Amino acid sequence: MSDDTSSPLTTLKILIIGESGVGKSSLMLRFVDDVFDPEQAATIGVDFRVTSMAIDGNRVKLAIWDTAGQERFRTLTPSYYRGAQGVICVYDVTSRSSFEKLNHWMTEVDTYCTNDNIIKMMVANKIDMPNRVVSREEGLKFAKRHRTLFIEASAKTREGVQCTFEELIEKIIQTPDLWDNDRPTFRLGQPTDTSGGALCGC
Amino acid sequence: MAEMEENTVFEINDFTIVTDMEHFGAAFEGIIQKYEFSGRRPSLPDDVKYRMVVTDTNVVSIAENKLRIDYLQPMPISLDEAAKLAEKTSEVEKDETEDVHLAPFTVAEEIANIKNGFESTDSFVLKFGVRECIVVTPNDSSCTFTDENQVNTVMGNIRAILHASRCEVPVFCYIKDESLDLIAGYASDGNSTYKFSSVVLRNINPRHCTMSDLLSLFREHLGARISAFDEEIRISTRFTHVVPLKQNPYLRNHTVDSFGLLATGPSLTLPFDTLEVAATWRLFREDSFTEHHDHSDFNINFSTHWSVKMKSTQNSLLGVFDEILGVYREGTRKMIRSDVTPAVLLGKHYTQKDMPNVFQKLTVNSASEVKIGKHVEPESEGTSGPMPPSLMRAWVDFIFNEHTEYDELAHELNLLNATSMSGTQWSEEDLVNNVKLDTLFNYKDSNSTNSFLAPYKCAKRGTTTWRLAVALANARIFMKETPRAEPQLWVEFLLRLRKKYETMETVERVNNGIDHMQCGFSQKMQMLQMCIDARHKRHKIFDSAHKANPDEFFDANDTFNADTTLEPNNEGRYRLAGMNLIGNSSEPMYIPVTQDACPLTDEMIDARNEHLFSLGDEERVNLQMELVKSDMQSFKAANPGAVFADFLRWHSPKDYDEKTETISERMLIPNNVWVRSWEAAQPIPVSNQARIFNDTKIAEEVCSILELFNNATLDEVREWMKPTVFAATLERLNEIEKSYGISEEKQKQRVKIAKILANATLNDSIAEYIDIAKYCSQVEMIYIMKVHLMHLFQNAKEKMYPPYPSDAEIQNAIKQLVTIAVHNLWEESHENEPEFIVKAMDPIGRALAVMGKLDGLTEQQLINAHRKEYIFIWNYKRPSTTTLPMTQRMYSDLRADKHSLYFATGSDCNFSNASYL
Repeated sequence: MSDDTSSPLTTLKILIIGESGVGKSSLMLRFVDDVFDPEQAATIGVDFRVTSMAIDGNRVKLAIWDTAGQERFRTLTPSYYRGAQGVICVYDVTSRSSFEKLNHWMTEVDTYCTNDNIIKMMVANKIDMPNRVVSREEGLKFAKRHRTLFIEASAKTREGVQCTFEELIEKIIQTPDLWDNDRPTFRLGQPTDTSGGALCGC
Repeated sequence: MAEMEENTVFEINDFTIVTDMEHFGAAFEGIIQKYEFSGRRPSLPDDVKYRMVVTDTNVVSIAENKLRIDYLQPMPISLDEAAKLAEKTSEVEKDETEDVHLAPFTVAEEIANIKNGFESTDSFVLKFGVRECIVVTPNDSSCTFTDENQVNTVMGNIRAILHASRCEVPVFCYIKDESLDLIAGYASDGNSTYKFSSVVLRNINPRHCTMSDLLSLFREHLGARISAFDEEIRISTRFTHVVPLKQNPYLRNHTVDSFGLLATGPSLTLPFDTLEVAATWRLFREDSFTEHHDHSDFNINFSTHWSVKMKSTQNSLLGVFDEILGVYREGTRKMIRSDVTPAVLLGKHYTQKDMPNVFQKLTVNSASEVKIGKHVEPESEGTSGPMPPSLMRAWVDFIFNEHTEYDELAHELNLLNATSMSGTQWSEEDLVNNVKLDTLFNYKDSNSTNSFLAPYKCAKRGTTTWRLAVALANARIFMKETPRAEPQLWVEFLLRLRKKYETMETVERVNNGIDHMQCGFSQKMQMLQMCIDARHKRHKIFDSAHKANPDEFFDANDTFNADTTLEPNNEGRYRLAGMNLIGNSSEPMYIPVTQDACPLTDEMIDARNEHLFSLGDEERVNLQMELVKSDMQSFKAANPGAVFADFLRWHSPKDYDEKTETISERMLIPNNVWVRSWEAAQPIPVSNQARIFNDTKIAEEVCSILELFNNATLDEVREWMKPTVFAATLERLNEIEKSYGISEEKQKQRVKIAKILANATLNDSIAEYIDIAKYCSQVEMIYIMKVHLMHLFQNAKEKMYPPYPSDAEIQNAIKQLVTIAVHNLWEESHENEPEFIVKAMDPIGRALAVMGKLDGLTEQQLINAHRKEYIFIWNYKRPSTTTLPMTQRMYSDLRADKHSLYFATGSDCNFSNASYL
């Protein structure tokens, strides 16, 4: 799938979530195929794209999972979180309700993701639109509270799209716990270190 | 040299030939110079606690032999001690400027220091009384530097170097292997010298087994005769007595409650079986106590203090957690083969029938054909052993949580208890003790919640899977003598599971679809339950269709508002949507009853995603359209006259703008899949639709799961239970520790461990599982030790006279005794063994005396103590009676198989030279 011959460092799973119609599929297609179709049909269930990119001289393979935003498709979403190293949570700056639902999405990420230190990114989409209702400051504040990356982007004008993915992937690569399975895991200290203290309740 | 020059004899200094010894001497001198050891050594303050630490190591060779030269330096034991030392030195510095010339020979001071005795655990302090020294040791076993003569030659060389470089640090040299403990040593300040030597005897001679013998031996060694003018010898002694503790047998008394809890406690016997008391008598004059072959004054009740240890003669002290989790470790000795199916393991004990055809069972056409509840089948399939089948079946009842009262299990457990008790004779006291221990080990936290310390991916508490995992682990422990109990329980579980599926009884707890936060096995059990539920629904549809029973409705989604919920109806309307249709503005819009998606386990999702990945865009969309198509049919049936915009208003409100009354652009794309499907959809209410989760799918699922369970090897079964068993172990650990109250810091650490386990269950990381298993085994072991000591102190309290030790004193004693035991079991560091010091007459001391029946020690037992150590210190004039008195020291260490004597013998070398002249 990767047109590059060098073998990839690792394969990363990136999940795109957010309310219906905020531009999740457009973001993905802009990034993967560099196209924008204003008439992008609503996603049914889940859609995938596989691509690869170079980060710090390393080639990484990306499996991008684009999920449907409608309520009716959500029964399966929890299962999509499994094994994801990064999650992109999109809202639409022209829709306050899509911004207000972010809390729900963050809770879902925390509940279902299997990697403790999964990298989260908040993307404010459609900044090219004239009728913006969610300010940059509000977005920043939310991202800070939830300790996520934050970027404003427009799938239509291409602004910020490349950057979104690059930042996210770079951050994941900097967290080897997330992707490097051969790396020795955190070892328990000698349990006896503390056993002295365990001996009685006093 | 001057003389040589006068005679004008030329002498060539030929440095091209250097003997091995000269080579060694030069190297050794170099080391001494490196340390700048010339002159007086600082004297060490008494009230700072030190530990001797090797601070530098050099390897020097003599010919082909390599010698290791270590410099041992006293270091303050702790930071507190170091601070004390800093305070001291600043004081000393002031004095030093005035009194430098009066500074004494440190080695002589140290040897005379009566405090350099049993308080210290450093061997050189104990043996020779010095706290700073250089030690020469053969570097490896191949060293041929083994002869005493060779050592004397080397020591002679070293002596010369020490004198030449005015080094006053004592140097010790091991003869042969270090473990033989043959040591020669030397120190001098030019005025007086100390020779150090040791004697190690393996053939025990009765001539030096008591204090009176050793006293005469000490005098003989110094060449002294008994004289009234001599000072008295000062002595310290330490006698170590090792006494057996009464070993309480421990037998589990099984109750329904204890069967539901993961087993804890000792694996075979309680940990401690020996009490070791080292009684010290500090510094007395030679006539105040006597000890000879028939008499001993050293009654341990009158010693200065005791140092107490609890010991075990067993090789392993691990508890049952180690056994429970041991099956997940490679290299554990296996009780039974685990790479075959449980059915094979049971062999003749299992009468097997062909698995009934699940498809057949699914072809029931009405609910009336299905018998719910007790359902007697003529088949006699089941196990006949090795454990009583009735017990196993009662246990399976318990696993499925079939009854709230477990009379049957209680009855079976009574029988089990009676059989296990029958082998041995139990005294009244033993029985009482057993009950006490049972209460301690089966501690159950009544406030325990259902939540875990961390989100493990495993079965939730209270589910069938949780109880099954605990039961299979307990079977390994409770029925240790019958290792086939575990496969038997699994086989009985499977039989019951199949039967329950056939009779459509509840097998597992399910809330709103499969819980993906539970483990794979649990998800399969949930899947089975959902299949059973789906069959129930199917029958209800049949029944309501045929009997038109108005009370029955189905597929009510909890999240919908109950107020507007409608009675079941032919249109499949669920409730009012609260708006009117666009397509037919006089009609209200109804939300239809909808179908559930197929429940999927993690494995199925992975397979499905893999399949979706492999498809082209269009096929992928089509495959996922199933639910949308069904929704469209239901919506049309519930709302005749509705248009596509109406559907969007319900299904995807973002795609219809109520203000401008327009459909979003993306839904208007010509011929898009939504519009196409809408146009193709027929109005069909859910009750008439093809089920998405249909009979074929159900049958396939059930078949594959039951077949999987049936063909699993014991290893596979254990692997399925793994996350839940580990979680149960860590949670049980947390529960039992609560019985003691747990510090906040401990609790934090436990949560950290729990998070690691959560991670291990998510990623199935073997290394983390192994670490957790080790951690659990060790913490449980500590807990068992605590329980055992608690039990011993409780019993001692009943037998001793008041005043009794307080709870705080007992807690402290337990803490210290466990710390020592843990140190000796696991610590690989070279840290000194911690000590627990007790006064014989204190309540704790008396309680310990009761435990070890120390009052009953006979005189012969006192004389033949496990180990007897003596330090003799004597001011005696050597070599002549007119010289200045020097402190002489002897340390004797008498053990059953080895007597060692260590001498520090001083002589005034100045005086002897003077008298000679």
